[in-house]
Parts: sequence; C-alpha cells; structure tokens
Amino acid sequence: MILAGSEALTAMNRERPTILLVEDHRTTCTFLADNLTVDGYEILVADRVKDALRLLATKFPDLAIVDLGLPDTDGLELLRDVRDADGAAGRIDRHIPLLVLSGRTSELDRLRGFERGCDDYVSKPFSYRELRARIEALLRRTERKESRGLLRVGPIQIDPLARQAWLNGDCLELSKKEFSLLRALASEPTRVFTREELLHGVWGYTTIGRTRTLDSHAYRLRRKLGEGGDRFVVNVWGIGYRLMDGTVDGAQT
Amino acid sequence: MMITAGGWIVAFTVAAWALRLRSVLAWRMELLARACHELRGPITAARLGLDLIAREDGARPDTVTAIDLELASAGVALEDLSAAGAGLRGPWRIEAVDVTALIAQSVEALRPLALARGVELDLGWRGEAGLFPADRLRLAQATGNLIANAIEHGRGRVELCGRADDAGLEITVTDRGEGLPAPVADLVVRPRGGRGRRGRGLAIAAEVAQRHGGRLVARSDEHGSHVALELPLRPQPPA
Repeated sequence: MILAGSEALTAMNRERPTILLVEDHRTTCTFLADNLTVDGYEILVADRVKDALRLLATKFPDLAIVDLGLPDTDGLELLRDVRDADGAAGRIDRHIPLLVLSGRTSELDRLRGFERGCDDYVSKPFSYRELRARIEALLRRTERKESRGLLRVGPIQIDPLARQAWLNGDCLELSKKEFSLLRALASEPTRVFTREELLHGVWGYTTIGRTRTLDSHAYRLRRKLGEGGDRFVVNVWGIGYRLMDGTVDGAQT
Repeated sequence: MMITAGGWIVAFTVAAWALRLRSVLAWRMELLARACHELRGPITAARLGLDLIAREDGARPDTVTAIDLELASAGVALEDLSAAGAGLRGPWRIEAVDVTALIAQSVEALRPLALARGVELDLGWRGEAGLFPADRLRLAQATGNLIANAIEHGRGRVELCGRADDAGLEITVTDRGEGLPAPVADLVVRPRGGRGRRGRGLAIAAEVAQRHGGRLVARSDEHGSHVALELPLRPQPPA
C-alpha cells in the first residue's frame, strides 16, 4: 500500500496551514499554540515523540516544530524517524519541514539537529516574531517547490499556477475542488491516496466521518474527463483514489 | 631515581586534591547547566505570554516593548552563562539599531524602579536620530545598568541623553549625586568577587563599550555626575 508523501495535498490546505507542535513545557506550549492560532495556523499538539509520530501519520501537518528534550525519547529520534520514513509503505511524509525549537544552543547541538534532518533550528528563548517569520519562510519554500511547473499524466495536462487543466489539449471546465482533487492526484500519478489524505488536503477536513464529498467530486471529475474518465480517476475500494494515464483499465483491488 | 616515602605521600595528596577539584568543578558545571535549563523555559514562556498580551485591547505597547526588551536581555545573560560553562563568551550580533527607540525602552523598563525610589527619570536626544551599528541587546544591557545605578546610588533627577554623529554614539546618564566613589577603571576591575552591585553594573557596561570598540567614562561638574558610554561608528569585532 502506497500512502506516504502528502506534499501536494498540504499545498492545497495552505490557506490555513497545520502545524504540529511537539513541546513538553506546558506553558511554552500553550502560549506558542495560542499565538500561532491567532496568526491563522491550525495547531496540533504532542508532548512526546510517540504521540507526535501518530499525529504525523494521521493528520498530515504542513510543518512540525520539535523540542528536543522530550520525556519519552530525544526529539532527535523523531527527526530521524521522519526522515527515514518509508515513502512506499509508511504514512509519514518524510519531506515535511521540521523546525527544531530547543534549549540546546551550542554549535554541536545545532549541527546534530541539521545532521538528523531539521530544516531550521531556533534556540530558546526566542522572539516569537522571528519564529513566525521562519515558519513562513519554510512554508513558502515548500509551496514554491510543489507548485512549480506543469504536470502531465498521459493526455491530461495541469497548470497549477493558472489552475487550468486540459485533456488532449481541450480545456476542462472544473470546479475549484475538482481541480484541486485532480492536481492532488496528479502530483504522484499511480500512487494511491487515502480518503483521509484527500479529504484533509483538498477540503481541509481533520475528522473524516462518513462523508460522500470525495466520492461525489471524483464522480463529477470522471464525467468531465469524458467517456473514459473512470480509466483516469480510479477508485481503489476501501482505500481511496489514484490517477492513471488512461491506458490501464479499472481499479486494482 | 629513588622516591622517598614522604615523596609518595605528597604525590598521593596532590593527586587526591586534583581529583577532588575535578569532581567539584564537574558538579558546579552541572549546577550551571541545570540553572540554564530551568531559566530557559520560564523566559521563553514569559516572552510568548507577553506576545499574547500585546494582542489584547488596552495593552500598552510601550510597556510591552520595554518588558520584552528586559526578557530578551535576560536571554542574553542566559546565553552568557551557558557559554561561560563551556569556557566561552556569549554570541555577538551587530545590527542596525534604532538607538533613540532603544534608550526610550530602557527608560520605560526602569521607570517603575525610579517611581518606587522617588526619582524623576528624563530622556533626551541631541542631534539627528538614526540607525547605529551595535549589538542591540547588549547595548540595552549597558544602558539599563547605567540607569539602574544612577537611580540606586545617585541623588535627585536622573537624565539619560543620547547623541549620535559621524564620529559615533554617546549615551550619558546624569544624576545629582557626588559621582562614582573611584575612577571607572578601578571600579570595573573586580578583585575577589567585586565591590558590590555598583561595580558589577559598571563592569558590564564597560565591557559592552569595550566590545563595541568604545569606552565607559565618568566625570563630574556643576550639573552633577555623568557616566557615558562612548562608542565609535564602526565597532570592532569582539575580542
């Protein structure tokens, strides 16, 4: 089952990016979460590595802020687990931006953090405004990387910046969410995206429930892709959807 | 070579003392590291809490900024403490500093102390305002110490006056007291743990001046006692 790598999905949710805050100092955690919430971020909180890994695998945050001195395991282990995540079999996005927030301030500590895969390292105590600027910079960098260039899947062509899609050169009239769904699926053709990933990434849902939203949009997207639409947007029963180039028939399950 | 029994005893005693000293030093370093760890969390939380307060209606921006400057300065002191544990000096960050705003924040932060002691605190600036290359927090540390000293040990009104020109920056603190009990150079040298709080604050201010390539000077005249930070326009890298 291929489930990892939600970069394109997270880009869809950029209007209100989700940040996982891994911090065990309760007051710091509360005040930082409150500040970030006021600034428009959606916040997930964990005070130990075990919970952080669970949230990374189920909620697909856009960025994680990680303290190093955690009660169960060193935060450096969390960095290693994320960067070593199996892109083919795991549920954790190994490319998620990781920002370390630590009281370990020496050059050696910083080097260890970067060696284990963090993207930025901020020492405590810090200025909130500087931290927020660094978060924005990391999110911008991720978004730019994701949104660059045209996507092609067989006869389907997608321009993420212009939010236009074509089938055999004919422009498709897609709604906003239909386009976002197509773009998400086209970011990694043939990969199976879970229902949870798509509902979170495209619609911003954090709890899934028994919604039919995804299925109805997938149905309409198929219809707009013409008679062979179901050869492109393939329902993988019980798991989610994937985008094929139209040369292979049917779902594989 | 023959070593006598007395020689063995001396060697053993020296080795035992060395081991004991090493153990004591290691314990002190551990205490230092623990203290730094315990301070880091509260300072971080306090700054974040202050950011939340600043967003509320009715928050006084000047007061919030002044408190944030104090907490940031405490953070610098923590960095120094942490670096000292490793036998190093704290980091040094030169940036373009709005000195007029900075000294206003220092005054605001110390106004409650002045009020409590019945001291009137005045702020002035001569000449054109502008940005000056300096380590902002260390400059605030120096200015804060000079004002606190004047409030605590001087008499009457305390005035803080800044002036910048092509040559450099001068920040002078004036009080109506009798002046320093000894020349600055003597007060900032602190044999056997120092001569009390006044010397320590002046030593910090003098070091900040020195690390900016400048100096701390004192003089007295009919207007009172003046202590001034004199910094050249192009600061030298710290020693």
